[in-house]
Amino acid sequence: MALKRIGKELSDLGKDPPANCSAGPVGDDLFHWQATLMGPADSPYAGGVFFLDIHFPADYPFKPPKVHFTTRIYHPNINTNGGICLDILKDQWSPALTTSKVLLSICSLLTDPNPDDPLVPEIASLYKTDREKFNEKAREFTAKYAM
Amino acid sequence: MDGSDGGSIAGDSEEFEYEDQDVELKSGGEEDEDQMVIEPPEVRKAPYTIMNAGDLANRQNKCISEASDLLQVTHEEGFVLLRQHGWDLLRLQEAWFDNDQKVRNRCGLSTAKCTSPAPSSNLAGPKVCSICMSAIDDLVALDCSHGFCEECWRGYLHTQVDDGKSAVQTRCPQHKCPMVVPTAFFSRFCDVERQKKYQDWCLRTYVDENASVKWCPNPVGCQFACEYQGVESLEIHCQCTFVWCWACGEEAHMPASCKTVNQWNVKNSAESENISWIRAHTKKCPKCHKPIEKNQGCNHMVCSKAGGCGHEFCWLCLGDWASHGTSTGGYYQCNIYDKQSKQGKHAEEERSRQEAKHALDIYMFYFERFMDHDKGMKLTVIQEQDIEGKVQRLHDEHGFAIIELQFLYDALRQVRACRRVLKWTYVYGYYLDDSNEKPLFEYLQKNLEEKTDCLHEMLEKDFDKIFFDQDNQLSSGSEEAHQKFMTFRSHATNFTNVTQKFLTQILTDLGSDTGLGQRFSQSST
Repeated sequence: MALKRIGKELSDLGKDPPANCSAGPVGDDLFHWQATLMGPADSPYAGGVFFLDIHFPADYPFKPPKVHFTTRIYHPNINTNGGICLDILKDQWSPALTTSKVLLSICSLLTDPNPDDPLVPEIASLYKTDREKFNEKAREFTAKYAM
Repeated sequence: MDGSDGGSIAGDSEEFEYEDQDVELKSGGEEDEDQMVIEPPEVRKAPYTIMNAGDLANRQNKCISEASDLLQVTHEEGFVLLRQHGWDLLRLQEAWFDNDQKVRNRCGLSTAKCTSPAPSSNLAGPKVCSICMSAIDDLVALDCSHGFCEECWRGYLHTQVDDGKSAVQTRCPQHKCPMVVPTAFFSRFCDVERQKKYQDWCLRTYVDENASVKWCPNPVGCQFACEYQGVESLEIHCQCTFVWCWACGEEAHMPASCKTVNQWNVKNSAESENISWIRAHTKKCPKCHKPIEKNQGCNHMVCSKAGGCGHEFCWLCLGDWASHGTSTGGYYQCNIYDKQSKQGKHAEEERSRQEAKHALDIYMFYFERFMDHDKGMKLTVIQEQDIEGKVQRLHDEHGFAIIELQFLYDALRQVRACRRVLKWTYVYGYYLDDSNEKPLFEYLQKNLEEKTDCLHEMLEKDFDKIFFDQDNQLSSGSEEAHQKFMTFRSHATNFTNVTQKFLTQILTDLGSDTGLGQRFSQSST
């Protein structure tokens, strides 16, 4: 079941690739993918290319894929290990969601961080109190790690 | 035999001040527990109901039927609505008649709030299951019409059940669709084992999400639940013999308050891992120093003649039993931590060590007694099974009617109740300051402890000696046997009543808002 569905997703991604991102398996293992995200134009991440690691569990799609950034990024909902705090990767996961939808959600998280449910409180606090300084730092990180 | 009696070191009263005692002094007095019913459960009409799994299912069904009649909804909807309103029909009713559509939306019984895109069936072309992404003609959907193939429904519901009891809250697999998956779907797609699990969890929600029903917290494990609608704190007598406090879910702990019990438990968990625990479980015979483990409930110990010396002593203070038993001419007083007499013993010990040891000794003194009564109490549960066999033998050999032997059970249950209360009086006593209340408290405690020990010993030793002595068999059905039985019975019944009286007294006197001293002088005049 999982393998069939992952194969299906892969061919759909090939047929109709979503804007600003791409994804595909690493080597022969269909359960382990790598994805790339282009930093959204209207965000301080613009111009950066971010890599993500995706692991599909054996009971996928009934359980969510495990997704994390391998590129450093300065963001209230993403920590230094690349862990992402996103509801659809946890309790709001639905088997009707797809990897492509997950990547799109991460893209919109980059445009619109969610500082009220932060993974890194210091960044969230800066985001809320001094947006200009936050943007500056995020751009700095993007230039340093994602370009 | 270091500090074997647990109270070997004591100083003057100043040294009894240990940390946080000031705060705890008042907690010895009860806040709201003086209303507790003291009579044994069979005497009064219990204001609560003990239920097994079958009773629970009936109660739950009745509750759902009431709701579905009242709100004009299906049984399934009634279940979902009640579950999400803590099984409080009144609360549900209020919300429902205020705005039923809002309640439906909130509880996942309506499609109104569904923000998910229209299902693919509306589009031209073949139907596609959005889980396996295969084109399949027969899609199964809830009222929200998000269709999925049977295989995917099965996989989805199996994963939900395997994830645990949150399965009862399963929603449509579509992202953000709030529709609740009904029981019928679980019956349709799950295997027998998972169906059983799911149904069990549905039943358990009646307890887990219901403020007026609780599982019996017996640490040994218990299947019974208790329903209680009242607000006053009370003691629940479960059918498994465990007695527990509704308010805090601990073992019933009169006369100590919930707050005191909590303090005590926190203290115990910090201390029990260390040597003090071991000390409470084994002691050395004060005469021959052979290690002894207590395997019966009463405190009158006899060092086993085989391998030991036959010395009789008191388990609590390790003193000679001759100085305790009323029959041996002594008088019972080992419930009082005797500072004066112990002080002399330490004169030779270094001072620096003393201070640290005092606090531990005081704690140990109370803890050991607390544990002893706990053990004694737990032994009565085993002894009750023993007595069943003995009753049968007495009936067979001497022709005593089973009903005439009921007093044995009554006596043993009385001992159990007394041991439980005694156990907690030591917690109460530990947190009681050295005010003028203390001697009165200790007097009441002494009375109860002494009588309880007498009764327990009577049931354990005298009873066996009279009727089951190998060397001195009573001939069956003889006049002598009958005579001895009648004497023993009246004796035991008498003691049962006396301990009951002391138990009632200690609970009324300690469980009152007015000071113990005041109450005591009133009740004794």
